[in-house]
Amino acid sequence: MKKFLCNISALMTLLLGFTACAPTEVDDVFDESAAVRLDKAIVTYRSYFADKGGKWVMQYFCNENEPGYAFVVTFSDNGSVTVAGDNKYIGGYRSDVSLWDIVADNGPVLTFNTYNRVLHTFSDPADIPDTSDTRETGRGHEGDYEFMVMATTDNSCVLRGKKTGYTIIMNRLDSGIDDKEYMTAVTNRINSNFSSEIDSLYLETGAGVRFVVKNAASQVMSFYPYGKDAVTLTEKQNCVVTPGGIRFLHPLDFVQDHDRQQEIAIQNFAFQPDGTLLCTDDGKTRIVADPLATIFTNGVTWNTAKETLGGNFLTLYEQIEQEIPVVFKNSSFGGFSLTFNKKTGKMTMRFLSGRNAKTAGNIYFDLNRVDDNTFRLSIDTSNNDYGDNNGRQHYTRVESFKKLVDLLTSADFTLSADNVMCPNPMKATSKANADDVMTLTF
Amino acid sequence: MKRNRFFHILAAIALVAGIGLTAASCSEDKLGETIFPDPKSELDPNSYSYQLDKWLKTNFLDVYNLDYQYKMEDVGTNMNYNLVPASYSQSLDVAVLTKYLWFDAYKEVTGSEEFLKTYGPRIIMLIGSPAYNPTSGTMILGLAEGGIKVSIFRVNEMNTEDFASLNEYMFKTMHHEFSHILHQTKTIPREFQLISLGHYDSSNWQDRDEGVVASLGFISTYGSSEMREDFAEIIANYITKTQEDWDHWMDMASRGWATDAEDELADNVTYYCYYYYKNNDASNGPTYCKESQVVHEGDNKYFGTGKDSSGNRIIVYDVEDTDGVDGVAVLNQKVQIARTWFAEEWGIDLDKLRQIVQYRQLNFNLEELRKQVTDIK
Repeated sequence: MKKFLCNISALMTLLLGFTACAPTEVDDVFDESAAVRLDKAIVTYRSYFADKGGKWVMQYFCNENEPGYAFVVTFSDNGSVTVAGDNKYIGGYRSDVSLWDIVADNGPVLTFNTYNRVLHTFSDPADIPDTSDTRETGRGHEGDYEFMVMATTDNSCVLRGKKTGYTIIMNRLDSGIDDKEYMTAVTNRINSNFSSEIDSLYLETGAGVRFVVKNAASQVMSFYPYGKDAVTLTEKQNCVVTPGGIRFLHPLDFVQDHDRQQEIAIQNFAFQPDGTLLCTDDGKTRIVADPLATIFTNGVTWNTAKETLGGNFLTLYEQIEQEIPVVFKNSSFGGFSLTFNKKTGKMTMRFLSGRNAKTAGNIYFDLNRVDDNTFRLSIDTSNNDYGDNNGRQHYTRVESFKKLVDLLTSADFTLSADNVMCPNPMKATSKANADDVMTLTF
Repeated sequence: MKRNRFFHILAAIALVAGIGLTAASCSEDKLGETIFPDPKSELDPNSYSYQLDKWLKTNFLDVYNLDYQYKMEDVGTNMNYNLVPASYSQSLDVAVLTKYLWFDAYKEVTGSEEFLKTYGPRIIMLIGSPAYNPTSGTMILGLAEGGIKVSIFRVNEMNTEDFASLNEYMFKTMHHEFSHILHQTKTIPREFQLISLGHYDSSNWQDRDEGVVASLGFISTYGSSEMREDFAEIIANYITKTQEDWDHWMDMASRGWATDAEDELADNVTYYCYYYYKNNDASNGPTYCKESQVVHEGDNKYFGTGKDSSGNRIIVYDVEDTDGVDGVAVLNQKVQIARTWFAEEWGIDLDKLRQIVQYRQLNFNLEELRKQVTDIK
């Protein structure tokens, strides 16, 4: 028995020895300790962000109720960083220099650790100018200035805001890009692609499921399935615009709820040459606008300018300018605009005449939509309904004015625009004479 | 049996091997180089912030073993607040002012750096924004934590052109927080703890009127929140308030205060220390008025140029002090306790310290102070 106990003790001692050695198996997985690896990661990321000129575009989100913001961020290996942005909270375009670093936290963290007027405006708890005092929470926009580095490739990195948890993407830019020019390109893209005058856009999946998109101009878009209840089914999602496309803060999961064929979560869209957006996640889903003829008749006032008129439109405009002072003493011509009245179903040509061209007059056309991009105007002058008093006076007494009305009703007009999402300007070209062109703007 | 012997030999080998392996595993405990090298310990002359970092190291870390943190890491703050870092330029200004108005002042009054080397904070952290408490409508301007760390808030809003604002939000805050550090090391005298007992209001201090709290013997509304803040406020205000401001506060403390508001707890209630009777007729009841409306002529006071129906000037009266506290006496008593505490516990002449700080506050040249940093090559 004594020998047995002795043998068992010896075997247990051997096992204890192996047990004590067990931790070395962990060391085999990583060559170095976690602390050493973290330190090396810090050194690596300090070099990574400042590498190749250190210029990046950051797609920044501070909360879910306001748009994302594009910032041009230029990291220098001397520890300074320049952040440039263009939005109302920083007074338009602004650029500021501060400090940055990679610090050890729960892994490597990119921190902007001294105040930068562009970035920290969105972390500052101070007053937000466009909220009422009673709504001030002392928390500001709630944005991050410390970001966990989640993943990197040579030219792109994924950050995660430490407080918000939002995924923030940074893409490397060519070091020769001018910050202000880039931000101007962002602003131009927003203005040229989205307008509050355009009532609705549409998100269409590859399988043809359609959603109405509202408030695109605010970049906090609302979506609901086409033809269904907007009140109960609306989903809101904010996005950030860059010259190349838009990215939503979160994937548009609701799309998959309504389209079972949609297997890929959609979040990123690229601008197409005509201004529409193609989803880069599935290559199928698009964000598009109404046909031009629909936009033309959505109630927006379309202005014309003499210098953008072509063919007979320009000729007649010049004749009207000369004839009106002759017919109506001390009067001058101030141009015309077109507005579709949804209630009456008439297209109104509103013109300015009289002393200093301050008196308005109206001619009312019937509008026939020929196809998605073509319309035809007509007028019935057999009764007095074709215009208001001033309109009729000009139609009957100013010959060149009558000819302008006749020109508008003489042929079908084709609508075209470089950017169909926000067709401003839009051209109306006579099918009878391609030289007869009106450039319409809102 | 043979089997048994073999087993014994095997067991013996196992015993030796087991002890050997155990011992070998323990040999890993040998200390080597730290696995937490501090990359900040070496200053890079090419770095953007080298001048300030070098100046801070030379003037705070090397002398006082004090880590002056202006590059903010949110883990060093209360994460329940949204806070932003201080800007580099404002950090530079606050750093040189901290040294000139606080550390150098104590060095001058004690004759060496030893006092702050021993009792000064180990960390000073600058924070760009205030920490807002929206429910109470208050904001935190400074914190002293555990006797070793002082946080100074609102650095980005510091206006170096505005002495009153600098004094209120920066200089006073520095001395206020250091007073906390000191009383976290040596207890506040019991005598002080009893003076204003029953008059503190920790939840509504921000809504109290300055005149009312002065009359109760507090040096600020915040000082009326609780005893420890009262102690720190007395010291900080005594050190930093100009004589003119101090005298004005003592004047307020000597008065009685009243309001015509129906609900004294409502927002923006105004308190007055003067009143008059319309048409000089007491049956009309008192109408309260502000100092700016009162004309002083000798010992008499009149309501502007107003006259009653008989052509007599409208007489203005002082509001009676009914709070039962001699505000001036209490304030003087509190200062005296602080004076004695400084002298006996710390060997520091509080009045001399005040004199030094006041002189420095009113005579510093920020451009020259900045040069200490910007001239570093």
